[in-house]
Amino acid sequence: MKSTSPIFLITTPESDPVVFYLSKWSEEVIEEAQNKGFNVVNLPREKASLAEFEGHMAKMKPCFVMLNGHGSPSKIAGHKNGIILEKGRNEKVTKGAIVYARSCFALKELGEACVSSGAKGFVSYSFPFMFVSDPNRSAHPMKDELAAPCRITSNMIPVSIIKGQSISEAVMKAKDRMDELIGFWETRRDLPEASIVASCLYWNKLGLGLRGEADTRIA
Amino acid sequence: MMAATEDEIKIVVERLKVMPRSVNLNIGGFGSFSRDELIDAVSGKTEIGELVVEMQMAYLRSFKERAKQ
Repeated sequence: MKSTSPIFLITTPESDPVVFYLSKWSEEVIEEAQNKGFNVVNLPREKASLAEFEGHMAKMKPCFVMLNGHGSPSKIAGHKNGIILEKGRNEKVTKGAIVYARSCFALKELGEACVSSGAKGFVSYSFPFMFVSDPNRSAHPMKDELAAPCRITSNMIPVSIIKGQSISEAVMKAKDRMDELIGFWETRRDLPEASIVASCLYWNKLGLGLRGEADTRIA
Repeated sequence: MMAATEDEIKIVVERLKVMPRSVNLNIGGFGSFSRDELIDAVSGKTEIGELVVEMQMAYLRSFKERAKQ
């Protein structure tokens, strides 16, 4: 019998410490998607490649796609910085999907190209995505208190979309939470690095945005 | 990206000096940087340094605005 579950495709490369953190953070998102009845297609490590990504996009036609990987204005990478999505090359694979790219710089050029090619919506960042981390916790990103504010707020976006909220509601909710956490971290006196954590939240908030119709949501 | 002024560089270096040496700032595809690497980058006006100054000054301006409210 053919499954009618909505399909959520996610890439989780682990080829350097930054994407390792992003991919480990994604476990919360995957769990939420499974709890909401999504068929989750995870492309981990080496599977976060151009061939696997294009193949699964064509075959599975996910309604929601989350990319963890380094970005530039026109492209997003997977494992070991292999390009998996690029303006002028394969943005058409996103047709019909909502895309959330936890990637630097990808919002404007690539986001607009994907939406022009039929993506229902594209949420990402205009600037480099930043977070503070504790190297003593590098093997266990979920236990890193310094990284937690950026994990929580960047995971809120896909979780809100999975719960059926529109892309603009997801972005606004995340920005509201960023404001709350900025207020909390900039007044902490127990950690000398707290203000730097607050500045990362502010920077990510400045860069976060969307392309496509604001009320787009998973049908 | 606007070139950082000498005053901005001084302000950001002083802020970074407060960070413990044991903490990293992760800047997307540019990588992970320790406190001392960040101070060197800002002082040396490298691409990363300019980005860190821009980010820190944006935050400090917003802090000032919020403090007025």
